[in-house]
Amino acid sequence: MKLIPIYTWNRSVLEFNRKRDRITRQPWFQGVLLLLCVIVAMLLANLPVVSAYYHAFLETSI
Amino acid sequence: MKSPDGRVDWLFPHGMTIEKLINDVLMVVFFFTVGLEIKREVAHGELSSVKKALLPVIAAFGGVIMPAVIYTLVNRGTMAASGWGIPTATDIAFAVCILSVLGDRVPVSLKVFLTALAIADDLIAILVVAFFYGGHINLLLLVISIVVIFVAWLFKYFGQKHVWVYLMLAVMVWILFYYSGIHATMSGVVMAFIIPSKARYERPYVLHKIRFFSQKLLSYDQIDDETMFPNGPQRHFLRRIHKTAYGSLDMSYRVEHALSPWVNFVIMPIFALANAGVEIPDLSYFNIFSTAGVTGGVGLGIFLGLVLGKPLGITLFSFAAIKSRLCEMPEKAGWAMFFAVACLGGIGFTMSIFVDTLSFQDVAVAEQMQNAGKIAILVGSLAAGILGSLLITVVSKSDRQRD
Repeated sequence: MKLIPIYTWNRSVLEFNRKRDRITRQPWFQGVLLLLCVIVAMLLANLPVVSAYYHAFLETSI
Repeated sequence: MKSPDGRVDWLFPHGMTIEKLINDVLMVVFFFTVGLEIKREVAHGELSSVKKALLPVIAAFGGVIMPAVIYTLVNRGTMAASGWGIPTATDIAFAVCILSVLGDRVPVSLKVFLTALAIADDLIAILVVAFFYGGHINLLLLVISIVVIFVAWLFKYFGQKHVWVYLMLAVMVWILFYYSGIHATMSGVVMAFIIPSKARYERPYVLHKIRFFSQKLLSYDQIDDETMFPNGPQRHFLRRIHKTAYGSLDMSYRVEHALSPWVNFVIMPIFALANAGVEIPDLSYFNIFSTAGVTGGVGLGIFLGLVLGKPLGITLFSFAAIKSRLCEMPEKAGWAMFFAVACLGGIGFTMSIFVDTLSFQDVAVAEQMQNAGKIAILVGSLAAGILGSLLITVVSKSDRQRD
């Protein structure tokens, strides 16, 4: 009885992985991802709430 | 022995911050995969023969020289002059992204041309970084690093096939480059050219073995219960097939294949997150056409270099090469479409930002100049992308109407 939900869950994970792979293999995906990162970086650097944390994080010594 | 900031820590380079970790360590992996890609294209791909490689290489030189000249003309004699390398790069990811969105409007031959051009362009950018944007060179460490590289080459020559051996040597080369003043990321490119690109097993051996093991696998299929797969002997032959298949792929390919998703979906986004975040105190930062203020003509030089210099350089150099019959025009392409595709070469982004972080280091207002440079790269890349896309759409429309 317990096998059915596990199977359903496994199948949904597999389907998710398949969809993810299909999208990430598209040639446009990387460009769009980089563009999103640029937008997020600009927001992080300029929003007063997070800007100080963003710069402090990048300057953190290791 | 001194680190770039004058101190040494053998456990971990002194003065390392998160940002430096991303730019000096993570980007080594990026440059390593770029090196592998160039090596593959030179061995088997679009740069494998002189005839094939000549046009993209000549175009790439044009696309480097013209933006550098334009930038230098705008900034000659000023503190900003050292940034001439910034507008010379092309970002292959963005260019390919736009080409794929534009679909069949661009002839396949020009897509191949732009990809080959971006790869040749990367090679030139690597040389520019290595020769013009390093620190003060420590000759002793440089000689030691060359010895280590030679040892790595000897390992390759004598058929060493374990990745960890090259990884250890790569770490040594990285440390030596870091302390010697050459940009540490160059160690990635050097190691990419060192690691073996010859497979362990030859083609006849692989084909023979795979055929033999497959036959054995089938012959043991029904020895007891056919629902039991794989049974004992089959597991053995499946393992042997796996081992043969693994040995038939060269180390360069395996490493490139393993690293590519990490570079494309982790390292480059992290690089963008860490480096594209420019603090903009007021909107005058976006006035890249202004040559007044402490940053001088950095913005204008980069913008003109990317939007004007790149397409002009690529097209004029290619025009000269084709008209002098050194090379042939890509199939089904006219000059208007060629120029439109060349505009996409002006998307500098990743490599340009990388060169920007290395430029102006000896200048008093380095941070402001780097920030002005980053804004100009973003605006210039965006403008080049939009201009290229619009021109491609218009030219393909008029071509279709004519047909």
